[in-house]
Amino acid sequence: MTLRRSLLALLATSLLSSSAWADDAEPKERWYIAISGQYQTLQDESAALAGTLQNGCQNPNAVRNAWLAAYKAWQRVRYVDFGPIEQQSRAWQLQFWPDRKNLIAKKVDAWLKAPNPPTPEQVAADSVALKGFPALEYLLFESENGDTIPLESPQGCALAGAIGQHLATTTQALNQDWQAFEEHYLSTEGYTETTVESALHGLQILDDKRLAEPMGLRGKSRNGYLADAWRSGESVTLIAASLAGLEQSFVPGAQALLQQEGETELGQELEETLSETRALAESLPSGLAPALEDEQAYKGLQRLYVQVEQLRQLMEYKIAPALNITQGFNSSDGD
Amino acid sequence: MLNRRHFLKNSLVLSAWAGLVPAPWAWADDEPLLFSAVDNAEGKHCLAGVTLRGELAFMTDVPERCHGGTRRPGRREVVMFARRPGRLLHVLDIDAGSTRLSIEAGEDRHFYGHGVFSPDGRYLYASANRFENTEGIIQVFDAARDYALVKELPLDGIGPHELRLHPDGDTLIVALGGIETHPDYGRAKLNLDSMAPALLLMDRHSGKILARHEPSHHQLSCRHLDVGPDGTVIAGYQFQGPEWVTPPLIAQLDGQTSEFKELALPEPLTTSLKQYIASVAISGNGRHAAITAPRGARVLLLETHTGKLLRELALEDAAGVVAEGENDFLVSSGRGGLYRLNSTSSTPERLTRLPVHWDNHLTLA
Repeated sequence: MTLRRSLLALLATSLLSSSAWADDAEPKERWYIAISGQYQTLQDESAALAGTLQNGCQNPNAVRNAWLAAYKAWQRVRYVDFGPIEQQSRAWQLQFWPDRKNLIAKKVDAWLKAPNPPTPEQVAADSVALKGFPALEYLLFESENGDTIPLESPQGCALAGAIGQHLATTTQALNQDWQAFEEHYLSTEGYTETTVESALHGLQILDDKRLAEPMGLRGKSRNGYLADAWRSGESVTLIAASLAGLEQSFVPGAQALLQQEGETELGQELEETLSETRALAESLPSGLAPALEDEQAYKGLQRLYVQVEQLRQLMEYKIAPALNITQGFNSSDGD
Repeated sequence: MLNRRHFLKNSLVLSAWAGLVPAPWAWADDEPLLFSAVDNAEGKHCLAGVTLRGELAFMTDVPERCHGGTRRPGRREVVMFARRPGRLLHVLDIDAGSTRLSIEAGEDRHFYGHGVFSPDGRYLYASANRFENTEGIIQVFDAARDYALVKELPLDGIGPHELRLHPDGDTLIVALGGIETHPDYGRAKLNLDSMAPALLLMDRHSGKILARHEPSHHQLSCRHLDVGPDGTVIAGYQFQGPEWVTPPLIAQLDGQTSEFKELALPEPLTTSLKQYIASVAISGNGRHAAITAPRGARVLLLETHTGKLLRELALEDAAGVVAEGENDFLVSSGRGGLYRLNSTSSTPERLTRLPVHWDNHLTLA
């Protein structure tokens, strides 16, 4: 009893002191630390996935769980499109998407038919489509007869192991580089705007590419193959993870920044809208593609889409202007 | 006149919803116009022409986002190119104010957004990618035969981008970006570890590579350039390495001595450019170079021959730049503004602001 009470007291003190410290921190420091935590988790979950794969593939469910945990860790920090993630096209390596030509199937199948599975070095030297979570997803979920999956063959298991190793190496290097990036991020002008723009850009991709396009709301017909993680039916799970990631690492810094600008209420509105949207995403069935053929489930997706649109508009039309941030045309997507 | 009136009708229909009203009556038949790829307020990809007073002369839709353009000598014609991985080039008839012809890059090929004509206006040289083996090439089109493809000149390298014609009339100056892309992979950069960028000089008749100048770092993608009347080249890089490293972003090839060197700018200016040069123009008299840096929201003015930095001017999303007259530059911004900049002035003079996003290059014709 006494021990528990003192532990609780200790916990309360540390929470209090950390939040008191955080209140004084500049927005960029808050962002930096929160994103550091997310990259660390991504590294840890990827290492755990590689470890699970090294123990063999007799238990596909254990591998699937480890894969989804690591994939969700990536979704949480996926919006960060500056810094070390830009090196060696790492974002593409982690998640080659969208895959309009089904290159993932082609590249994975080629190795499944090869005489020997690749080493992690051979994975590193191969196509970007072979390197990340979607290639593992193919090995874990693709099934012609609804029965066996490629992972269950010795070749498939070895290939998954090599990809898992490559993912672990990539995310470890990413995390290390983010740590080395600290001084540059904190001391170089312009990263406040860059960070806000990255969150906005992440929401735009979520809205336009991850929801509206597969749902058939951008001038073309419904197409579940455009969703992330359509093979595993985890598209909405990953969207929920991306929203949770923004809550975790973007909102606290954004609130501090908005407060400095005398726009505390906008910070509150951001937190509430984001939290509602994430909760809605979590309450829906995990797949997007199946919902395209089920009107009841599709209505749920529509509700999510409307909510995400609101969130995007809040960022685009209220928060970015309040912070005097305008998205560039050539500065964000020039050639 | 019939053409123009007909075109006016189309333009008004097109632009009613875009909040833009072209004024084709406002420009004289031989008046110079500025051409650029733009996105309109709804994000639609278009080509636009404006007068040097900033009035919109025309606007037309295109299926893929375009990038740079080039004037055809001796004709009232401009060619605009799709950016990677786009496959179309568009021939604009200036007087009709419309697209006369659209040409495809050919099977398994895409353009990179740039091209240049031979001095007589007969042959068009366009940078392209033969993407099944990622071979950078120059495609040669015969403008006298409705832009039929005549031949392809291999570059022994990946990712050619902007090219210009040397004042000798025979040498193409090609910025080789070094970045491998493939249409199946969208805009993903596939070889950041093994890039081999260069500034190339090529004989446009034989295709022989006459010189190959390599940047000081393998991830310095050599992308844009202009050449002065004496053959001096200023080139702009885009660095693909870490944000916390700041290599030089501008190179100079001396027209007299053929010496290739990079120009270091003072810190913190280099850092503020965020590794990215968009467009380069050398003034009509050859003395000055204007360089846009959209990520750094700046325009730089250099002395062409010494490489000395004369001025840096603040301009949000600074995009296209082209020389006008002996001493002036016209500059566009992704935010919609169009500016005149004198080599000696300290602030750009705004000519207009239109509800469009100007892409990174301007063409004067």
